[in-house]
Amino acid sequence: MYSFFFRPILGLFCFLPLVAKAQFVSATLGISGLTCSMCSYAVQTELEHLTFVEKAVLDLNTNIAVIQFKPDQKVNMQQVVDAVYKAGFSIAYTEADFIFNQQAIADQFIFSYDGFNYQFLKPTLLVLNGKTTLKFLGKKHLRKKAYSFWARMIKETLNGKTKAEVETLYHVTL
Amino acid sequence: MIRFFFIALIFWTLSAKAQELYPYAEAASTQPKGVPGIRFTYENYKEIPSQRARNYGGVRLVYGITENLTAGISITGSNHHLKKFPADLSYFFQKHHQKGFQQNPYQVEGLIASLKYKFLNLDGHQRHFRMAVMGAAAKSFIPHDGAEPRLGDNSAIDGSWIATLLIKRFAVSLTNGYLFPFKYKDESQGYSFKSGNCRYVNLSFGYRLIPNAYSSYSNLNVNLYLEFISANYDKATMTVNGQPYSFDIYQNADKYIYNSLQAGTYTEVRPSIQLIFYSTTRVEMGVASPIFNQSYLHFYPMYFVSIHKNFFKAKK
Repeated sequence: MYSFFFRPILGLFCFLPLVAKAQFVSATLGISGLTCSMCSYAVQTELEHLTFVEKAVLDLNTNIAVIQFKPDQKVNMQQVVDAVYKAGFSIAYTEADFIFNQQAIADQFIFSYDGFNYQFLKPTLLVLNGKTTLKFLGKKHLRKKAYSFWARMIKETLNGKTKAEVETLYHVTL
Repeated sequence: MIRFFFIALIFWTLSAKAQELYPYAEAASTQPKGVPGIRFTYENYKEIPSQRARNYGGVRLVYGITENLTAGISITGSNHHLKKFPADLSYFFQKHHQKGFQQNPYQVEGLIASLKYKFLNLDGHQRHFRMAVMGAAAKSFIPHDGAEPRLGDNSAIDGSWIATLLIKRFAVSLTNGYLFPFKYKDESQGYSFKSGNCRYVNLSFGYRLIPNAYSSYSNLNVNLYLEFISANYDKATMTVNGQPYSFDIYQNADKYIYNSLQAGTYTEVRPSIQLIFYSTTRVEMGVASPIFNQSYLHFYPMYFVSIHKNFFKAKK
């Protein structure tokens, strides 16, 4: 009787701590338009001003920013992107590492995280587990030429969606 | 003139990253959103023939309202002008650069407010092309006594467009603007004085001397700049008790004073060096020299120093 009812429950509690919490852990941004350290410093301080950013390091020679997020804090990728634009620069590419737990996905699959929806376009894997790099495909997330490849697919997924749904939807790929 | 354009050509071809934090011209780039900055400017030259020092200073606060809109407010002061035109205009227009003429007091000259809006931003890897429009208005408290106007010396409005191109080894900025001075009125003496309307073009080049490669934000940056300032302005007009006042009678007196009241066109060059400390503070120094005619706002050589500090956001 004990083993029939309680062992599975006990087993579940034992298993939980071994499963990493689904969350963003870091991001990498390629920054466009930067040429001097004063400009780079403006971008780095804007990124580090975000409450959920633990550390931002912008390589002055490659203009690539690596951002570590604080654990257990809600990460808003839009604010990350906006920080770069606030400093007066734009983004060549946006990548973020997210921890998945055996997440099965398909083309146009949507997963939700902290009030935002993330829609996959043309994923190359069917199951995601552990730290996985997501490439963001929004207009402000990558350079114009790269965005034009995805623009039509993104537009199709937005048909029939409300303004609020559009504002909280990110398009990503692997 | 050819020599200076040859130097400019060298700037185009030198293999180093360029800079666009020009000491004189405003680049099309704007202040980061929510980031304030403060700028101190100082200019010095010797008046001819008196050899008295003429000093000018300004404090400018800038703030990024949005990533595309920067507001600025400045206060300027100098010993370039009298508090008001003297009663004896004839003596003034013949002698005010002579040693025997009364020394100008140090005083606040004017307040300037400006807005710059960046309307085009094309960014690439270590390159960008930006365009902006800029408007400024000034309230002056002193009687400017020359044909060429200056914001702060004159109550005036100014409008310009700016295009800045930066491609790794090359940075250039072009500014084209119009400056419309208002009439200065001294009702107690029945005087009015109006400087000429001015059209100007600035062409600025920048070059990063060191470091070749960055290792940290505390690396000292040394940048070289070469800026060409060209202006064309109308003659000054003056009335006394409503009647036109002719400057022709001063043609054979001090040539410099007479020329400063006439319409003019000139180009001057301003080479300068800039040091950037800890990626937050710029110190610039340079000199202005004429290459085609001359400006009558100042004598040559004119030396200038400026310090600019940005107060970037703190980590949360």
